[in-house]
Amino acid sequence: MFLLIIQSVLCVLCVLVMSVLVVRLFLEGQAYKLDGHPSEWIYTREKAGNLLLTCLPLFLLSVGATVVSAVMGVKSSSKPQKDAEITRDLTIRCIKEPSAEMLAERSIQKRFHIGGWCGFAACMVPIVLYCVNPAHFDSSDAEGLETVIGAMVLHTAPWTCLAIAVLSVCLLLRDKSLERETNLAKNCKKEAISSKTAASSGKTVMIVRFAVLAAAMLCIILGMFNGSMRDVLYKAINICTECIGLG
Amino acid sequence: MDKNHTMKRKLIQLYAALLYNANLRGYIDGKIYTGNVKAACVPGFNCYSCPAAAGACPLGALQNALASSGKKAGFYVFGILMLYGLMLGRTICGWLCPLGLIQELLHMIPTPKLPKNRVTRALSYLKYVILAVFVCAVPVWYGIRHDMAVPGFCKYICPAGTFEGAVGLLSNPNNADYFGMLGILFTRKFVIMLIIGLFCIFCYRSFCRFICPLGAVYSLFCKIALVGVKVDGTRCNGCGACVRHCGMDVRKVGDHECIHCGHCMEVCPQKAISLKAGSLTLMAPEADARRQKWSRIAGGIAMAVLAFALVWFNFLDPSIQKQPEPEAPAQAEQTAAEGFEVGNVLKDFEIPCTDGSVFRLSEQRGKVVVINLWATWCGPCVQELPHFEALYAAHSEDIAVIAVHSPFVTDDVNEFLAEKDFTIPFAVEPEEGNVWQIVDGSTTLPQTIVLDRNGVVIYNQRGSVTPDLLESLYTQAAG
Repeated sequence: MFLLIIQSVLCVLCVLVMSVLVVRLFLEGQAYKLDGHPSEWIYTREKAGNLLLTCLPLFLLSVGATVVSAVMGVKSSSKPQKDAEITRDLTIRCIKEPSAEMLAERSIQKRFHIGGWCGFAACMVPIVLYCVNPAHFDSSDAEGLETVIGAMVLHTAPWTCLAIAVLSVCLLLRDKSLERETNLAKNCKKEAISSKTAASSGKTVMIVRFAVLAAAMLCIILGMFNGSMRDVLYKAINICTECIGLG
Repeated sequence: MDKNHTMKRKLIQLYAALLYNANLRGYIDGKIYTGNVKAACVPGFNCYSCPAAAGACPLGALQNALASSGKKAGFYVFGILMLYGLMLGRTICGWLCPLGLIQELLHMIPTPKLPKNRVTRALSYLKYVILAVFVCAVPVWYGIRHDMAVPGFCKYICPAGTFEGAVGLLSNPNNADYFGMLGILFTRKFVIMLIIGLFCIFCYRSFCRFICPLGAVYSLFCKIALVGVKVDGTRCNGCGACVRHCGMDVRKVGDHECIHCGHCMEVCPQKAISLKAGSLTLMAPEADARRQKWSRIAGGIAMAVLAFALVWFNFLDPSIQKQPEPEAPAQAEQTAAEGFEVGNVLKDFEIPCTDGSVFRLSEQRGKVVVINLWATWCGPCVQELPHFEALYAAHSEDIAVIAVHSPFVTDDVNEFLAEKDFTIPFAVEPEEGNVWQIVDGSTTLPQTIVLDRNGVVIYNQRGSVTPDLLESLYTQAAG
């Protein structure tokens, strides 16, 4: 465990130090630019090399710790995770008739399930409204684009966080209800396990598969004729520097 | 059950990574592969700006298709994604994604691990938000409203683009000049890449589970995908070992979060789970001599394909032979001052403009000359065109500006220009080459070349320019 913690600290430190160095280098470059060297390079190969060298001891230490862990046979624990729904399903398979309390719990679970998704969907509404409004994507110059993306992230991030929080809470409450149902089920009269056979929906799936396959083939053929295949090639054989984050 | 199932999967992941990146000579040259094969999208997440990439990234292609959806429907990309989704679905994530392999390797670093829980399960829906916002909304609106390709996910998030594309290109000594264009964009993306990498160490496949929009696209096909893990209902006793042991946020085997890695096959006490393609069993808990025989044959074919791909992409592909070397260095041997590098005199050229006139470099002597290499499909190129227009407007008597479009034309350039009010002359580079070879134009766009009054190169850089930089270059060139 001690080695695992050491390794974690080293990994976090590596990333922290590297991030700080990259940001510092950028800030130094910006200051250099403001000093009246607009056409000079902010980064150079040498600067990047020196940066990597600064991180190298920490990186080597981390690699060393991994090697030591491997030699000593230290492994991260990978315990199976409990799942309230599975535990419930396993328990109720031995039960002939669910009790009234169990049915009530199921009703609660359904409410949390629907509520969670309704909450999630409600939080998505402002995001969708923001995204479908062309006025939010007005600026076309470089600085404008940064502002637009910044504003978009600022608008969508809180709603996304809220959506995830709502969903998490509802999942938590649903799991609590599942646990209560499992406890109730344990006190019920038990029977031999009956195996359920899933209803076959093979035919529908096959029809959908054929439809999607036909649509896919049609799209590919159309794409070959309308030039979209050529567009993919042209984009792929040219480097758009900003698109890969170079600048 | 094959005891070496995990190892087999790792080998297949490695195989896929090598097949997608078969152009290994790209790492030596520092250039990307430019052959026609690149029109084919690979199924997994693999940046097409990686020097070794032999195919196109489906997500990058999707964003560009959406960006040009106002003019042309990206049928090809939609068709390819549907085909991959239908045939393989998220099996691609588990078996054929190089980024998945990297994440799994990072997760093997021995540290305490963050188990899946309700929060991670809820977080797994974040990727759909990212798909809607960065992959769809940003490219569509910028494409429709501004005629500009802005692949939001590639530009602001994609760690594969940073790692394979940007870092891959920067690590080659031949691309030392690429360092000149780094700035806030790279700094931000580099830090994002580090953070994602760190998360992957502690939390299994964090990028896959929470961020990857390609996984989100493939997950839409989970119900109909042909290949995937299937549960034999007659054997399953509902113990749930499959879900409890799975690292992903699955609720049941084969749902939209399942990457069909087959780990559940190992842990199922009933041996009820197998990897199937339709009714054909590809991998099952029980050993089967016939299946093993076919598996060996398939392995042999796969190795032959890989060997052929490596030979083809590195030695035989026609694009290797046809890559023209810039003319200027050869000229430079004859007349020392002629070339494309700073301090050289640029070789004379003439090119017909879209307005019918002809731009001759020799006729511009005495003026500052600015040459911009651009393309309609290059977002940053379109974004910076107004800067050249403004520079031209400010010094029209004393400056000659020409914007030369790449020989790869996807949209009607004249139609594009008709919608704008540019006064600077535009030209389209012919396929046989002209200006591109003289100024050392490459597959990297945009590029700007500035000449002083005597035709001497004072600036020749790839990457975007700002109005301030252009003004300062003009001042420097005007003397």
